[in-house]
Amino acid sequence: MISITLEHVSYAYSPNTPLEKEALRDVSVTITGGKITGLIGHTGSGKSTFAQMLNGLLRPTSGKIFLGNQDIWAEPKKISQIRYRVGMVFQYPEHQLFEETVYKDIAYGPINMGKQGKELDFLIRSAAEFVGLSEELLDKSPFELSGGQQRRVAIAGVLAMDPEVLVLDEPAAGLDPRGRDEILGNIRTYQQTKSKTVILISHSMEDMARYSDELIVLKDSTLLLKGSLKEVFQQADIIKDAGLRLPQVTRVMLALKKKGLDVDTSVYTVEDAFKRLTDRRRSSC
Amino acid sequence: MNVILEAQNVVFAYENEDVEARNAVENVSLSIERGSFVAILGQNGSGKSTLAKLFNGILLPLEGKILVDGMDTTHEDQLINIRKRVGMVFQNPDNQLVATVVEEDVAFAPENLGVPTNEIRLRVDKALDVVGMREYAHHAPHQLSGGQKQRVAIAGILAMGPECIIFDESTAMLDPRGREEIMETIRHLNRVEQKTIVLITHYMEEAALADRVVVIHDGTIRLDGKPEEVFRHQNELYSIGLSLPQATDLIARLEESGLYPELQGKTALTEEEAAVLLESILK
Amino acid sequence: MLKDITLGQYFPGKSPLHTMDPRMKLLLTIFYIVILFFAKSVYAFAWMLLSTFVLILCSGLSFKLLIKGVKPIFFILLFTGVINLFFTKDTQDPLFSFWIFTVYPKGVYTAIFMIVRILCLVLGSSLLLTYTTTPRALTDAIERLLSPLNLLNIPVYDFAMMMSLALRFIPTLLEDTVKIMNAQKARGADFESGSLIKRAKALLPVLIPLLVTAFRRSNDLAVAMECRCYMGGKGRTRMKQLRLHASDLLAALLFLAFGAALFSCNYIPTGIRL
Repeated sequence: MISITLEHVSYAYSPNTPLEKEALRDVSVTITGGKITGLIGHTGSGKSTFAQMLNGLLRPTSGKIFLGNQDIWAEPKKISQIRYRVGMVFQYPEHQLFEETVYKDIAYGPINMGKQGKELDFLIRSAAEFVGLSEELLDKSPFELSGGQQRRVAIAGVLAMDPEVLVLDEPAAGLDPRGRDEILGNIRTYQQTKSKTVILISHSMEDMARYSDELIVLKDSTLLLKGSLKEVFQQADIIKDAGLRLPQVTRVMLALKKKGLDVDTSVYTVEDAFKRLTDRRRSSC
Repeated sequence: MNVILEAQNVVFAYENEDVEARNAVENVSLSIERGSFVAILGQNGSGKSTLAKLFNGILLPLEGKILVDGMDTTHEDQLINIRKRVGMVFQNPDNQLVATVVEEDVAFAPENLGVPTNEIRLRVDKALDVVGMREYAHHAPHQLSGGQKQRVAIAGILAMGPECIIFDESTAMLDPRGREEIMETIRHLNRVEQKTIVLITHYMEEAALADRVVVIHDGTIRLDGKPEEVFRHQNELYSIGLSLPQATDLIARLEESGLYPELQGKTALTEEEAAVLLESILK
Repeated sequence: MLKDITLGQYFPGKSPLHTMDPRMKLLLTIFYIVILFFAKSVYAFAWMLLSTFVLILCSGLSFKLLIKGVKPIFFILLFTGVINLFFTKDTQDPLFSFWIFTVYPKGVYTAIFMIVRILCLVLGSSLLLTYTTTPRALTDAIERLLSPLNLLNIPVYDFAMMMSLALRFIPTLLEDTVKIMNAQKARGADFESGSLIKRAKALLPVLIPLLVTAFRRSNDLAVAMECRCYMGGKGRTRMKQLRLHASDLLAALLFLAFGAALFSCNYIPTGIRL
């Protein structure tokens, strides 16, 4: 259950040129180990840059990043070791598939790490199982699968490296409601059974409410808020200011409150709202 | 009646590739009225996009008939007339822009159709005005946000002067703001510009904005009606991999609980409707 | 690495060079390049250098920018210079010699002239064309100039369309490449170390997905174009008609004068033999 700490981290694209573009400014935050931390912010707020710094794909222009107690850039030549420990699933990860079979594609990462034999086979099969890929799919070509299945293969390819930290950038983008629930549910199960540290990027506040424990809010390249789901969602004005919307069911409750009704607005899922409203009815009867 | 798109017992399946087997269409009959706003809902692989491609002759039915304004899509000499009338906006904004400058992209279709130079200019300006992208006329597509690119793609279709526009999951790759931009544009096109809109989507919140919702699963039509009617079939929707918008879901669950008899027969499509319903009861 | 590629880079502006008809620019570039090869004397080279300088002033682009643009050919310049310096043989007395190399005065001149010529060539053609003309205008110009070939049943329009689509998709595909490389790096790919064969092998996980992506994009694009009634070049009209202006003709006259002057320079006697 390893945590990640950012200390005064800034990042600029094309530094010291006329095209310099600041993507993150002086961000200091700790990502708690063993939890799902949601990373939210409007497009262009610096989320992707933030994510890509966690596994050393981008190097901070200034500031330090610690994986546990280790400065990840202490030895730049060994940055690939960090990449094995912090797994990264990009947006539309199915676009990275290239092998002849699903099995071989999932094997790519662990083989690069030097895994072999029984251990390799175990890693591949357990990763496939976590994302709900059945055995008979393993020998198929990944290009024959449906988009949703390809997505699972790509995620399994990162899980198979058995990273201590898993970063996922919009893992459910473009999927239908069932596909979304399945993939995010798989990630939740994976995180809980293996007590991993997970960072989840999503635009859907409804998904965040269901799947994340803590939230980090970015706005205009800076850190706006960090805290538990409730702590962050309670700050409705700040969330709105960051160009984000609370879950629809919360908005319903906020609208009721605005109409002068005495309702609890700290509900973020339909189940919560249902419980509050039925309790209310029962107690008034 | 005044029907613009009509499918009569249409059957379609992709050849050999078992990858596409799921996207088949089986014996679908559907007619869409001029000026209406119809959402076609279904999960990935349900055949909804296939249906869209059948409607402007990109795919041809194996059995049955597709009529666009009375023209059969299998008649090749009518194809241009059909495509002029029914425009398509696709999912990936990057893959439908052809030019390196916005206004030149919008001009592409009228240029193809041999529209006189002066008129192209007028059409391009008008189309960019409708989608609110006039000030970006000289920008390069890669400088734009996803929502803006998609609006340019819509302008490119408008410049053909279509009566009907089919949106084939055009919001799926956009962020929430981009999605809102496009939904706003779509409503404007339907209400102000009087275009017939067919919106293919798996977002229930978007379907809720339509006049009519058609739910398709495994290539057949499962539900068809006003959104408030269709959304009452929550069990059926869940069973085919769809879900309700949270506001609709909440009202439906409260109704089912039996604790809120006042909600009997009521549906909320949007958060505002849910709030109004609950307000009247809780006060 | 990928960011350094400046294929057909266009710098927006409103200079006389920017506003010139692209067809005229294309023709004048060809004219300019051909003329450069006729320079044979010191005066002609000096005139060439001066004219290119004037061209730079006409483009309104900064010198800094141009120097950056010339950087990639620096090694070509150096190489050409060195080859000419050491390997030009002459009957005159050598300037000096060491080991197997002998340097003659002619070698020095040739080296300098070659460098100046390549520099003028690169600067002139990029100033006239790529820096001041949008890729779209360029393909348009090529298409119109080649349009007589249509009579021979050569599908000039389709070629031009292909070219402009390629230009449109270069930034997109570069972005795709970066994304795929990052994804594979995250899975432990190493593109930077190892033998040449190992590195080439390491590229496979990038090339295959890139190819698949490119195919998907082109497939989508073809469908989208069909939906927008694309039927090839036949019966197509244009939103923007190209029209020759008096200024374009003036430019042509200036270039002719430049050419004539360059030819005359060759006949001014000098002490240097080439």
